[in-house]
Amino acid sequence: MDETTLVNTSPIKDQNNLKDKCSQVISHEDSCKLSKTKVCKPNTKNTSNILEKRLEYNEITNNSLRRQKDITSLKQAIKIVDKYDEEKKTFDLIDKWRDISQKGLSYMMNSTLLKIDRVGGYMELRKKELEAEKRQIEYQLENDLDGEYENMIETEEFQMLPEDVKSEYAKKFEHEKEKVNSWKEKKFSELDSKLDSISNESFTMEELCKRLKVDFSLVFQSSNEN
Amino acid sequence: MTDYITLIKKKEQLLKEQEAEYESLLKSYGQSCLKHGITIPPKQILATHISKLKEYNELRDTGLKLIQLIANEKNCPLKTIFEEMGHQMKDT
Repeated sequence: MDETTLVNTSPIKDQNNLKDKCSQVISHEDSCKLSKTKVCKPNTKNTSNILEKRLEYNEITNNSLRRQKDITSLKQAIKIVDKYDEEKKTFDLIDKWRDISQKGLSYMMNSTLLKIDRVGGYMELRKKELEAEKRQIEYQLENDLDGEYENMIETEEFQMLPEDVKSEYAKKFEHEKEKVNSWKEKKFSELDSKLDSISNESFTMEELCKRLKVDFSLVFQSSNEN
Repeated sequence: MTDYITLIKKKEQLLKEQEAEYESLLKSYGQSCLKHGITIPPKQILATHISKLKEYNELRDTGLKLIQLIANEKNCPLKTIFEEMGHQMKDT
């Protein structure tokens, strides 16, 4: 035995040791791999448990929020019941303002009917209104389209354009005008049919409400529901 | 995991407290209703309260608008129209 053998560092022995160490390392790595795969299974179980708990927590939270909402509305309801005299005051005020509205509408109805009579009756009034509507449409369309074209012609850029482009624009304008005219005719025929349909109608409270932008059902029908 | 368990326990405790509060409120609601002779469930009383306030506001707006129109037509103050209709201007 030499010294090296004594201290267990001989090259041969060292080689053997190295082999042993290597095999140990390899086996350790293998075992690690194994342990990793083994650990995977409990991990999925763990995550599914966490998920379950999270779902449970969410459900309880939702229930709690719902209950809190119930509590708040119940508190409000108690307040309303405790001050029920104030609630009755609101009911009385509703009656007051409904009465005022009904009386106001009655007054307006009478006054409007007098005005309609002065004009020559409801049919005459509608005729005049529809004619005014037609005039307004005509005026607006002509002013809009003609004005736009005239403004364009007067611009310096337009004057600089070659004649063929100018005539192209003129054609386009004529085409637009035709379109507008056909729309206008359609609109006029609609207004004429409206006039025919109202020949047997009379001025009603519903129409007065519509003209005054008042909710008829609020003033008249709701009172029957109470 | 343990975090969730403690959180759940806390929430469960809160829910228990809320249930107890709800029950006691329900009792006091019943007592208040008995006093005034009301037999409407709490949710409905809230809905009615809100809808009545809305109705009041809308009718008030309509009434004021009509009174203004009449006053303009008659060329007189609003107060006169209210008096003619047998009502006061102010809501008391």
